[in-house]
Amino acid sequence: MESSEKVIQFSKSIATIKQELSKDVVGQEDIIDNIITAIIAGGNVLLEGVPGVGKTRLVRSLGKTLSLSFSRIQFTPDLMPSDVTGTNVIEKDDKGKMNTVFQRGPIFANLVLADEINRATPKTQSAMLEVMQEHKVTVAKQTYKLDEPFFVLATQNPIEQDGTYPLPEAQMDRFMFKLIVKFPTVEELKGIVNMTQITMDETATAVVDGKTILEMRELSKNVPVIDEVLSFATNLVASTHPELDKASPTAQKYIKYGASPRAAQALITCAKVRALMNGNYNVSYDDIKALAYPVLRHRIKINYNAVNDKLSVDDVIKLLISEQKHN
Amino acid sequence: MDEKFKKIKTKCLIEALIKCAVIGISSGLFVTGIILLSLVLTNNPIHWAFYILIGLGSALAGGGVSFLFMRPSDMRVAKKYDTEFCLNEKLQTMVAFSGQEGEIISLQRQNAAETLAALPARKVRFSQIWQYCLCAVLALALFFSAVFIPVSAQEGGNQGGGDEPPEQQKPEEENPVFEYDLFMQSALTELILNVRESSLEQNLRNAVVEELENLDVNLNSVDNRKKMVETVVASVEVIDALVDEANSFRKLSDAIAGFDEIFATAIRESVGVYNSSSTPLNDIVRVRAFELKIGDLIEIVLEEFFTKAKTALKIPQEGIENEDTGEIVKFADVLNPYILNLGLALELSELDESEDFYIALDKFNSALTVISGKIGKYSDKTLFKDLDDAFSALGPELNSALSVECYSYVINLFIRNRLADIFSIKANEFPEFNEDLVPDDNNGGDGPGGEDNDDPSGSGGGNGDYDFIYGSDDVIYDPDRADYVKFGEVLDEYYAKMQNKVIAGEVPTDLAKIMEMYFEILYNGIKNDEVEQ
Repeated sequence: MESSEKVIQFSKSIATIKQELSKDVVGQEDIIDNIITAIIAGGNVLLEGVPGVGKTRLVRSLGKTLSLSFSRIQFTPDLMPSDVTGTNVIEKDDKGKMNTVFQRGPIFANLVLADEINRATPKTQSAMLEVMQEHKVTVAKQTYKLDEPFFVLATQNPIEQDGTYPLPEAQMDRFMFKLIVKFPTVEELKGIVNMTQITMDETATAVVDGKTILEMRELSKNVPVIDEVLSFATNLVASTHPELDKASPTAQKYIKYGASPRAAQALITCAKVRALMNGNYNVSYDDIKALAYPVLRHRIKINYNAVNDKLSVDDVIKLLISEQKHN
Repeated sequence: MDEKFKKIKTKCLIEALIKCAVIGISSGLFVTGIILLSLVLTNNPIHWAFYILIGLGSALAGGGVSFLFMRPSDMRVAKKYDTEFCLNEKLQTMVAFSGQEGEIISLQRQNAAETLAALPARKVRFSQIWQYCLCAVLALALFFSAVFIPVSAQEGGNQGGGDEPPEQQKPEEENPVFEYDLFMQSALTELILNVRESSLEQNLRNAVVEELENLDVNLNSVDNRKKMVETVVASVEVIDALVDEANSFRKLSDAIAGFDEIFATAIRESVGVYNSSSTPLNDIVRVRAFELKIGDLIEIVLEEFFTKAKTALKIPQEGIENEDTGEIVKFADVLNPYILNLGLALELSELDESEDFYIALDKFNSALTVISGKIGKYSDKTLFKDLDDAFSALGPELNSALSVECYSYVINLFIRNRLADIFSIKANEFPEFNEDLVPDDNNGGDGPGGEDNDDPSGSGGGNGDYDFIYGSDDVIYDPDRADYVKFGEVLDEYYAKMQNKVIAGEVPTDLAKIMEMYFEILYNGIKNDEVEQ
C-alpha cells in the first residue's frame, strides 16, 4: 500500500474507532484520544478516576473495536504474582502420565485491564509491571512471549487509600500516560443513563485488528520532527528538574523531583501519533503541549509549596509550559 | 523548494532590504548629525566631503550589519509564516527536511505546499515598517538640527558679548583703532615720574626716562593697536638693553661658572631674587616695599652659597682621603686652585676694576691668598677662622653690589608691568624677560616677563583676577602723613580732594570722568573685600 493510502487509512481508522467507541462510551473524548494514542505508540496507561465512570466499559469496548483479546484482572491484596502471570500445574495426560503444564494467567491477552492496581501487594505489582515492560512472562525458566499489540490499562481509585499499596515512582514511570477520568457532565450523565437503560452490554463492533494497529505504529515512527520542536520537548522535561541548570523558576519553587528521560521519549513518540491522528504530517508545538499533561503528571512530584499555594500537578505543568519559549 | 515559498521568501527579502536601507540611512544621518554637531560646536569644522564619507560609511555599516541579522533564510521565513498563519510548524518541517526522502516526509512536503497555495496573497504584509520609518525621521530631524542649531548658536554668541572682557580682541577685529587717551597719558606720565624718583643709577635712570618720554611722544601718532604694540615693545626692548648693559653680574657669573657653578648660580639667583617672592610688581608702592627687602633676600641666597663653599674649602692641612678616588686631598690642594680660578675669572669677566663686584671679589681673593700663605705655619683652626672672616667680609660687599643690579631689574620689571596694564598688552606680546633668572620651580612671574600672566588689568589697586578688581587694605605711602597707610582708610579723603579740584575747575572734564571711574572701581573693590571678610 502506498504511504499516502496508509496515512489516509490511518485517519479513517481512527475516526472509525472513535465512532464505534462512542456507541458504548458517552463523552470522555480526550480520554479516548489519549488511550488510542498510547495503544498505537506502544505504551501503557494508568487511569485514575472515581468508581463508576466507565473505565472498565471503555477498555472492554476498546478491545471489541480493535479486535483484541481482552482480560480483566481485579487486583486485591491477596492476589499473587502467579495469579497474574500463570503457573505450572500438574496434569494427567491420556496415557495417565503426570506432566507439568503451564496454565496461562490473565495477563496473556492483547488488552489487559488491571483494575485497582494499587490494591495489590508490591510483589504482585512488580510482576505485573515487569510483564508490561518486557512483554513476556518467565515461569520456571520458561519464557512465554505475549502477543502484540500488548496494552495494559491500569486503574486506581483516588478515594480509597486505606489498605492500598501506592505504586512507587519508578514503577509509575513505566506508564506512558496517566489519565484522569473526571465525573461526567450532567448532559453526559443523561446520555449514560439513557444508553444503559437499553442494555449494559457493549455494542461496539470490530473495525480494525491488531495487525492494523502495528502498521499504524510503524507508520507513525516516520513522522518528521524539526529540531526546534524536539528541543522544546526535551527542554520541557529538563526544566522539571529543580537541581539542573535548565530548571525553570516554577520547578525550583514547586517541584520536588522531575521526570525521567522516558518522559521525553513518550512525548515525541506520542506526538507523532497524535499528529497523524489529526491529519498532520509533522509534529508541532501544540502536540507537545497537549501531551505534556498525561506524560508528566505522574512523573513529577510537587512539593509542599505547591500544596500551600493550592496548585495541582496540572497547574504546575501549565506553568512549566508557559515558561518554555518557542525556538 | 516550493514555488510559492520562493515567492514568499523573495518578498521577505525585499522587506528586509527596505528595512535595512532605512536603518542604513538612519545610521548615516544619525552619525553624521552627531559628528557635525560636536565638531561645529567645538569650532573644529572639517571639509564637507568628510561628512559625506562618514555618512556613507555609517549608512553602509548600519545597513550591512542589520542585513546580516535580518536577511531572510528559508527557516526564518518558514517560522514567520507558521506563526502568522498558525500552520503548526508545517513550513518549518518542510524546510528542515527539504533535502531528505521518505514517504511521510514527501507527504508532509506536499501537504505544506498545498497549505501554502491556499494562503491568500493579500495576507502577506510588511511588518513594523512604520517603526523603521520613525527612526529615519528622528535621525533626519537630528541631522537638520545639527546643521541649523550650531549656526544659531554662533550668531547668538556673537550678539551677546556681555561676558567678554572689553580688552579682548574679537576675532573679526584683528587690528582695532587705538586712541592715546588722557588716561593712558596720565598713567605713562606717572610711570616716568616713578622711574625718575627711583633709586636707579643716575645714567641708567636718565636713559630709561628718556626712552619713556620718547614713547610718550611716539604714541601720539599711533592710530591702531598693532602699531601701538610695536611701539611699546620697541621701547621695552630698549629699556631691557639699557638695564642689561648697566648690569655686569652676567659677565661675572659666566666667568665664575667655569670653576664654580654654585657661586655662579648664587649670583644669578641673587639678582633674580624677586622671582622667588610673591610680591606683585605692578605698582610703585610694592616696588618700594620690595626694595627694602632686597638686601635680606640676597643675604639668604649668599649665606646658602657661603655655607657650601666653606664646607668645600675647609679641608685639613694634612689632608683627607677622597671617598671616590682614594687620593689624599689637602687644604692647599683645594684653596690654591680656587684662588687662581677666581683671579682668572675676574680677568675674564672684563669687569672694570672700579666696579663694586670687582672690588669685593678682589679683596676676597687677596684674603684667600693670605690664608694660603699661612698653610703649614698655623693650625687648621686658625686658617678656618680666617676663611670664615674672609667670607664674612665678602658678604656685605657682594650683597651691596648684587642689590644694585637686582633693583635695576625690579624697576625694569615694574616698567614692563605698568606698560602692559596701561596699554592692555599681553605677556606673549612682549619679548622674553630674563628667563635665565627664573628658577625652575618659579610660580611667581607677576609681570609680562612671567609666562603665566596675561593680565592686562589696568588698576594697580590690588590683587585681581581678570575681570574683578578687589579692594585691598594694602599699604600706600601718604605724602601728607609721610607714612604708609591702608588706602581703604584714606580713600574717602582722596576722593574728596579730587572732587574739590574738579569743582574748582582745576581738572579737565575728560580727566575728571576718568578719575571718577577710577574711584568707582576702587570703591567696588573695597566692598568686595568687605564681603570676603
